[in-house]
Amino acid sequence: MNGMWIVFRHEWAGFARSGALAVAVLVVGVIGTVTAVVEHRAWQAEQSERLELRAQEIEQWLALGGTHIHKAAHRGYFVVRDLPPGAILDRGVWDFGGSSVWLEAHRRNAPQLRAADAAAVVARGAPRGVGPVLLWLVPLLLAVLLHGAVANERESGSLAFAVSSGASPHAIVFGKALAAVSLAWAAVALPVVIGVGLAVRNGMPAAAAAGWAMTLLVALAVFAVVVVIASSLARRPLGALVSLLLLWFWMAVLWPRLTPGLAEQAAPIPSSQTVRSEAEVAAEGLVTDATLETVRDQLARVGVTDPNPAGVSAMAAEVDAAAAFADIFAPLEAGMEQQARLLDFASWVSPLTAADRAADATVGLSDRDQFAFEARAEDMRIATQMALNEGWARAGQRDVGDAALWRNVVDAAVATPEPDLARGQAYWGLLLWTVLATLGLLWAARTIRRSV
Amino acid sequence: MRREHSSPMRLSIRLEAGLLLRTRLFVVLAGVVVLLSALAGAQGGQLARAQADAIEAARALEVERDAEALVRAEQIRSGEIDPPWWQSPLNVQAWSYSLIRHVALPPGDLAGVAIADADIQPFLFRINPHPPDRWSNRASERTPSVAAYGGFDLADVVLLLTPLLVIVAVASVIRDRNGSERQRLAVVQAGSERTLLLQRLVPRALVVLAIILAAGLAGVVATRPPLTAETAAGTVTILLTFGAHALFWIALAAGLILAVRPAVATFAGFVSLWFILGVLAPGAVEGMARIVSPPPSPLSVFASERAETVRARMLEEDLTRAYAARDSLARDMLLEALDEDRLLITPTNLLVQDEVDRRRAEDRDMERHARSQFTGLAQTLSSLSPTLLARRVIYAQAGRGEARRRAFEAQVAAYHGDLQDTFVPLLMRRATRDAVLLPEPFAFQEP
Repeated sequence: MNGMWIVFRHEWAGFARSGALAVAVLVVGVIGTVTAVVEHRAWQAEQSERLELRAQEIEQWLALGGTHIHKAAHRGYFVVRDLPPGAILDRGVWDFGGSSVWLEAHRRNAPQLRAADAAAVVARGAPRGVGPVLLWLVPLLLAVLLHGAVANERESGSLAFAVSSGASPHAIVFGKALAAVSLAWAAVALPVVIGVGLAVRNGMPAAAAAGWAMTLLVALAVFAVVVVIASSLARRPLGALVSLLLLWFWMAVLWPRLTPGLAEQAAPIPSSQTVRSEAEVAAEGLVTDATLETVRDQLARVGVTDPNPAGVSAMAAEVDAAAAFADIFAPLEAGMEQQARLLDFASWVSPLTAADRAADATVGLSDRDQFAFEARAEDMRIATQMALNEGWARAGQRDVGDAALWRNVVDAAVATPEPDLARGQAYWGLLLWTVLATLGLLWAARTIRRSV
Repeated sequence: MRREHSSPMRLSIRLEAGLLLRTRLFVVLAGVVVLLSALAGAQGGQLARAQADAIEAARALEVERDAEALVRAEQIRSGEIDPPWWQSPLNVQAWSYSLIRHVALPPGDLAGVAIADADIQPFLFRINPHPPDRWSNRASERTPSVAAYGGFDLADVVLLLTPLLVIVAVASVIRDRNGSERQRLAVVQAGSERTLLLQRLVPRALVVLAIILAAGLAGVVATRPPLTAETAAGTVTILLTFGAHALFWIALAAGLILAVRPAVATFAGFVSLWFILGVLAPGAVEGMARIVSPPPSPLSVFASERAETVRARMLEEDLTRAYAARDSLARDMLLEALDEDRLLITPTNLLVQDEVDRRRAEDRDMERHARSQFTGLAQTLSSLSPTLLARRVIYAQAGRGEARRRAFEAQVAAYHGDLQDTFVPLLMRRATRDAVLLPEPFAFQEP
């Protein structure tokens, strides 16, 4: 333990002397902090737009006055998802999941108004958000700054001298790994503190923010250890650098872009365009006598004995449409969930990708969070249409709504609570890499003992 | 005997190329580049073929629906059937909702080379004479993180891996600069260090170039393009772009090797430039363009459209009366419906759309302008990075560029305008015709 501590202190003195510490803290600090501030501003702008659209929608519905109920049903209601403040830390699927769904009579619309619609294609796939940027930048910097951690000493002969003088290879490797990990953590300290502070100030639960920070720190620690292992195994520093660059490229750039295609091959989904066309056809002329009878019975039980026939028919149409849609959309939904699961498992191949996906879930912007929003939107669609049509059925011979009816519709659209955060499987990938990195260090120490 | 007569340069090319091709890491990386290029090309080709098949199926559906309507119309005319008005293809309103017309941006012959954002942007959707919010299936949906990672694109694979291949190819040249005995001897033999470096770098550059061109060609072939003069010319342009991009990185590496002696500094310089120009540039370019010339947010544009629609809806009766005064053939039906408080959903939707178009015209122009300024600036800034510049050239060759998409959007708007010119007067009158109204299918005109 003492030997490890001596190596650790020696390494830190080296970082300070060589300027590695200053470079890491400065480069990562500036880029990370600027990213945090830019992402905070982006979150503020988009969240305020979402809230404004939501408020505008409610205000417009409450002001419908004596509008015909059939017209109101097709006017639809735009339900807008809150943008979680964790988006400052990690954008997750923010840009690619629609921010709102148009809830309409007997029509299941796709989520729309994606940030990606206003993006230039030039940056597609580039990391955005504090976490993804740090997960790209810091490992690369560690590879460049620390590739010679052990290899330099091997080349100069000081490693052989130290080991033959009685220094423990384990103390050397673990001491250097500890120093590398602490350098990585020191480099990200400022942007992490600023990012977490901004996210928590805007309403992110402190526990979730801490979970995000932990995910990031573990992933960086794993990569720092990988750098030391590569340096221990390489014959020359240059070999270590080139191998680490290739490894970084594979883990941070290539693998995340290879896996979507593989997931699509493994779990193909039907074309959403075909599914939605099918749903449109299914929604035409759906009302069955049995459903009409059921609806009339339900209304009678709540004291509506002479309902407006148009309202009854519309209620029955929604009941039948909802049942038909559930079957039609099931393969698409199941396929997407399967793809998300496969991507989680595939992320285990790279600690950086595993951390990225785990962080998406922590901030509430994973695939599953988007699926949950869309499923909730469909529940809301049914709830709003039923509220509207029940009001129509209760309206006797009138076909127009009133303030109380519009209020019922608005309440039905906001009544469903936010879902719990969906965790996914990516955390296990990080755990796996932590174990592998520890075993790798033991192996590296053994290799040093043998080679000296 | 031939070897004895070889010039020193030819000899060094043979020797250096041989040395490089015996370097295990380089050979593995070269293999990975070719393999991934072929894989990316195959995936891109698959997407392009899926798009072409979807367009073909959509066209077939149009023909089928038209044929059904014609048969039904004949049955109605002969008295064989007498459906209610909302099921008659002769009733323009009923037919306007069941008519199927698709607008499609067909993939070009070399579309498989680049995916860009073709997998998330609308390339095929149903359109009708009604306001755009009644069009169906505007964009195909994908699992969000699949969409977020982006297409595994031949252009990206080759352009991103080229610098890595270059650095691995010249790694031993950089390392030897630190001054080994062998290096000192070689300098004496070559005459000068500069000559020696060039003798070592040129053969390696040629090998890298050959591998990049082979990878590019493998990728293009894997997309399975048709064999035509145009695709051959496009392929040559794409390969030249890959080659020029590789030459840039080779020249950069050579420049650094000649200018900087310590191996670590040369490496650090090259890696930093690669990180800045290839890895950081896309995000930085978009970020800068967004700060300097922010595009309109989809949410705020939509909120304005929705608010204006609500305001126009309040004027439905006035708009209907004003239209009735302009169109004598529609007047009686419209005024009668207003007097009897009957629903006029289709005519009022059209009038509201017209009113919103009028009220929002100026703002929409500004939004379009802001949007094109943003994309224009992003394109201009992307010229600062050779990787992004090369990618832009390849996107344009593959028909995945911004200009083609803008042309598609403009043609869709024009086609919808034509549909409305034909249908709207008849919809306002709730007209029934003697024959089914069959508009021409949409055909994309290359810009």
